[in-house]
Amino acid sequence: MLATFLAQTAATTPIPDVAWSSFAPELPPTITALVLLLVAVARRRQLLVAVPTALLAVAAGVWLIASGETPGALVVPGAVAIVLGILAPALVVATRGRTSLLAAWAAAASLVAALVLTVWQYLTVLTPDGPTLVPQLAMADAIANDGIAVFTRLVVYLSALLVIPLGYGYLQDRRINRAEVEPLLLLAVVGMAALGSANDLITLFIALELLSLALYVLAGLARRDRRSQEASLKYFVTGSVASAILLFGMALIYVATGTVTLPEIGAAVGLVTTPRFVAAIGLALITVGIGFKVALAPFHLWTPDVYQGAPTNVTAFMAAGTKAAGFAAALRLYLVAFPDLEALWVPVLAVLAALTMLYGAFLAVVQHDVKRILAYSAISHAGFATIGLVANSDAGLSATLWYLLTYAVSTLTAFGCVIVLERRRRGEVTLADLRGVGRSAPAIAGILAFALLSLAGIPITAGYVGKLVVFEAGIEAGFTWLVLVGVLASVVAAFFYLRIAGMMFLEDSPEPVEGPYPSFGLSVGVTVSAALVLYLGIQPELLLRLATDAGVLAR
Amino acid sequence: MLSEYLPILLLFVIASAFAVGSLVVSSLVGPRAPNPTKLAAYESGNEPLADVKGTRFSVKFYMVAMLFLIFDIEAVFLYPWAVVLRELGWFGLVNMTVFVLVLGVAFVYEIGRGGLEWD
Repeated sequence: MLATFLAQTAATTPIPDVAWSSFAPELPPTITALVLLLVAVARRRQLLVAVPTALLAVAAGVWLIASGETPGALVVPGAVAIVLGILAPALVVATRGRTSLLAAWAAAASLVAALVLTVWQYLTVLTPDGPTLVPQLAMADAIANDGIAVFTRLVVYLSALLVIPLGYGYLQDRRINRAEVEPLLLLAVVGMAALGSANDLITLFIALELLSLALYVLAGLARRDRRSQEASLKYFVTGSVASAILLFGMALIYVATGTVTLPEIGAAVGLVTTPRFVAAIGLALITVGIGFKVALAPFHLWTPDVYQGAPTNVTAFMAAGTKAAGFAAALRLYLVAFPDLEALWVPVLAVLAALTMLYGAFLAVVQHDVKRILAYSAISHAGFATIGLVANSDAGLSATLWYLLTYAVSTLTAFGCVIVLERRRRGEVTLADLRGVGRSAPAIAGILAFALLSLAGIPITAGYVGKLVVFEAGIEAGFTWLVLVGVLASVVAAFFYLRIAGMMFLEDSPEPVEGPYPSFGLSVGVTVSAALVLYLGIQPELLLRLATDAGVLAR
Repeated sequence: MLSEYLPILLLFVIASAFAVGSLVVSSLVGPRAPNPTKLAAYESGNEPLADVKGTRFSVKFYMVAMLFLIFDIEAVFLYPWAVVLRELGWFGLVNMTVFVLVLGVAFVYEIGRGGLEWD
């Protein structure tokens, strides 16, 4: 009976042409997350999960390679599927039942696959002829494949890939290396990538919830630690309220315009028949919701407690990834859906940006815990990234994207160093604990100082180029006062970054601390991210061009 | 446009009118002969053991509630899907297969982690 039904349907309704390439990079992490959940409960029978997965993946890969319209069109995704398929049982055998090690390697492999597929998508699908990027809409306009989407994917997948080696040893030390960490991380990163390409309000909301729900759990990973519990609960409660407000705003926008697709909203908002008042209230509520997620003052109050309480690798991932994804969504939302209401949101966001920069910078000065200082610095950096959004131009758009990339690598390096220091002290690190680190562990102190200089925006680091492009875009758009506030905030911020560096190098430690050396993964993660900070500072051209390309929006 | 929703409004009105009406009518018309047993609080045939306020529930109930929620969501999606399956065709079938598979992973995970073991 089923067979006749299938034959009937196949004859009457054709198989729809789903643009698989539009979300191809998201598939490996999603599938890996699901398989890892199964592996986590398989105990000694992990091969029972891995072998069928491998067979399915290899079959899918072969089918992909064979089915391309022109020969060789789908070789890259097919090869990725085959390699991942072969890796699955190989990793199970190689890790010999150590589930968290298996999960870390599998997650890293899937993230590499996601990065490869992103590059493939950029090179073949989005730039079919010549260097210009051709934006595409897919899945009934729910997904936009354009510069922002590709760039956000690069940033979030790269951040997640760096966080895995940074966190592996740390989670083991604190005995919180549960098998669920990597699946949750992968789901969060998929949510972030989807947020960067969400072209309608519903996709946007689902992507935001996917990443938030995974992060609520990750923040409370250290269940026995009261601070971690507090972080998780606080993040969950404020985050849910923010989601509710955001959803209410979206509902009002739908009431006003009668559509949920961002470009159609953009077209409808300008019409005379649209009730502008309702649309404006919806816009205000959406601004509050987005402001919560990316921690703009005055919606930032959850940030210090959550960043301090969450396990440090989760904090690093939250700071790097959530910010990039949240701003990508904000950019698309404001520039595509609300260009006609710019008289409303530009001044409001400009004031919020100024408040955020100053608030983050000034409050960081009086903090003592290093993670808390970095949390306030995260708030301050959200303000800087908003300058590009306020500029409301293509230059501003690529400036914000670029700023978020530089912030992501700098903050990952800084938190990576904090993880190393926490490992040495076997506990939290306060400012006073940093005394003499420059003598006892010069390498890590040097890298931390370098990351802090990048966060402060000193030349030859990535942060310098980031601040430069953002300020340029701000001045071009006529927001000189905002840029002046930004410069003031960076001066204040430079004070506390340099104070940390001074503590490490200029003061002597009261008693020498001897802890374990950084693990292999930790060293690799910190070195690679520090190298990225340096590379982006000296040779920004390649990715800067990509960020400029990202100015091409699918409208 | 709003007139399309008139049947739903009517359903609301009739349902609430029936509920309120039957309570009112039974209290007006029905015979009344109270005695202590009849007036006692009724809880599945037993005297209530304790005041509900301030009672702590075991967190295990939460797990069951989550499990129920997953089942429930699945059913909520499956019913309307089954009605329009013929129009959706392959697309609907594949979509629902993926959805059920993902939910299936959640079930296997929950059972594997001991979500159904009460003790």
